[in-house]
Amino acid sequence: MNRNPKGCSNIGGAAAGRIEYCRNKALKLFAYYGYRPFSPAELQLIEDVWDKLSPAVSRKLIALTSPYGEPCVLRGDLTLSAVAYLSAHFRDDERPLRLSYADRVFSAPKPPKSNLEENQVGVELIGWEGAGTDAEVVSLLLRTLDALSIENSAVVLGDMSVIARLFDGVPAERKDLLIEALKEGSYSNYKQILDGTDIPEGSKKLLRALPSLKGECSVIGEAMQMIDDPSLLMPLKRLCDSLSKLGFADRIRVDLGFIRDLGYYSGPVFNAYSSISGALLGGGGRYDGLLAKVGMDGEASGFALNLKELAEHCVDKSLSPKLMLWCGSGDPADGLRYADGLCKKGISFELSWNRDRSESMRIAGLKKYRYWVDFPAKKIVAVSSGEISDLETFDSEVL
Amino acid sequence: MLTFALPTGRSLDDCIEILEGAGLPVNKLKNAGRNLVIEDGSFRYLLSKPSDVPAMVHYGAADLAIAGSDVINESGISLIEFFDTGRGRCVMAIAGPQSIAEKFNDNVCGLMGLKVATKYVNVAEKTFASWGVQIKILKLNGSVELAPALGLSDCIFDIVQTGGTLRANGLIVIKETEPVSLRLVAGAGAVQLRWHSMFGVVNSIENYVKGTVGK
Repeated sequence: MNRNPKGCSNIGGAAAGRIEYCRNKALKLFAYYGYRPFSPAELQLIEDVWDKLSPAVSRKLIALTSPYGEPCVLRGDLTLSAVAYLSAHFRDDERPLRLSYADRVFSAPKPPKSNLEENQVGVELIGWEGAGTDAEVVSLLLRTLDALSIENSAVVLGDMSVIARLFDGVPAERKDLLIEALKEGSYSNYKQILDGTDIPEGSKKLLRALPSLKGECSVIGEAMQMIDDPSLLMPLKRLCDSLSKLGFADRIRVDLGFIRDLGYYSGPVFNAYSSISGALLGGGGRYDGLLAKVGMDGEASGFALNLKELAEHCVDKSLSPKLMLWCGSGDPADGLRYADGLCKKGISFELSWNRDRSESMRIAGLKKYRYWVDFPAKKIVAVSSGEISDLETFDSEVL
Repeated sequence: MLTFALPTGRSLDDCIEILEGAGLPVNKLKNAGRNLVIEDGSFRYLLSKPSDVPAMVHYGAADLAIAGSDVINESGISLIEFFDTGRGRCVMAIAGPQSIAEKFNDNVCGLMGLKVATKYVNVAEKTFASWGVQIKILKLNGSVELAPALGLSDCIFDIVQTGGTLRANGLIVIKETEPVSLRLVAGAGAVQLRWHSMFGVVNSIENYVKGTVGK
């Protein structure tokens, strides 16, 4: 048996079925909202990605030299590919531009994970749509989780522009250290650095409270009372209000100290969780700054969800075949014609060309099919009970 | 119900003292016997091998945990670290026989290829790499202090509390690399999703810990 390289795995069986189900369901939903599928190249030139990601993320990219001698990385970020594509292929007046994708990304794993690749599904929206951009993207994320029947999912919102403004008066070197500590989740380190930073006590009080400013949407109101310029939080408040009006109020949390580390986020950011297990399903945010780096003006937002996590948390509705159709040694065309009929009725099946009738039935049991069809004899057998019926009767009444 | 992951072994007494001081129910925890899951009031305590505690909170088995900074760093798992409890204080250090200690006084070139016995493989590698030194690591899970005497390694990289075990095995502390203590931690997901149910407990523990500093 071949061994996969460490960090890589083949996905088969029910897990593959569920991933496929999630991918198709999500892409179909995205298509309703006008997102067009995009399939990016597997390799990216190092020069195109290196300065657009944060150093911590760049260091995790998997570098290689293409057979043409070009220094590349295995695609580590789908947003960069999508933005590069949009900037090169569409005019400004064609906006808004909407893309969807379902593909793999590669990077060195962060402990305790050991996998080098992840399957993602997501969207990118580029336009001039104002607050609508964020509301559309976050609500689409929630609708995707609903479409996949992921129970008790929740979205946590933060805002990178608020973080940037709150640290405005802090000396640059200290500001970087404080943001790094927040990013790492080291609140003890954050408080220690803050205590040693020379800024007015009023600002310090707010920054000291920042890691605790999380919870329901009402936390935005609390924060507004603490800062000099409450309008700073209005975009996030409006986003929460919009999502609440759409019926998502109980699934929205706010974390004002939340930082997403890809290096290109510049506005509202969000993480999606399964709130039962607390598993991170994916996330995204606003990245106007990245657009600027590729020479585009405007607003952009998007999200990516981890397909393996979605598959693990969704209610299994994958299309597993319902019956095994044994065609025996008759004319294959007859069996295939009947199979076409099943297909038209939306009934999934697997064909069996085994010459041995009992062996075919045994395999149907092994594969846990509900029914086994003896097509030459026009009979259908319920695999678990062994009950036999006429195929014609069963066909019209049940199938 | 809020679930805590706590390390078994000598740190457990410190954890119980902190939790009790913060007003959490600990009677059943004090008499846990061989039970590894203890429910007391609206709290559940999971007793786990110290090195497994970070994973317990990362994977959501526990909401909060008290874990040593040594095992947190070794695991490499990103956790929210609320504060240093000040308990379980010791240092991560390189220790060895006097002859090896002298090598550390010279240029780091002399340390290249040093054989280091440790259970903290990741932290050891990072520490020596930060000095530009490549080492050979011998991973041991216990009685690391024996390794130099048996000729298995030149020195060890381990936590040192009183230094008694080192002295008993003819070793001295050559270089202290970082302080170690018990920290209150949580998984990022749990903090973002359930902050409303955990912040009261986090505050109580922090207030208790602050109130006992220096006592």
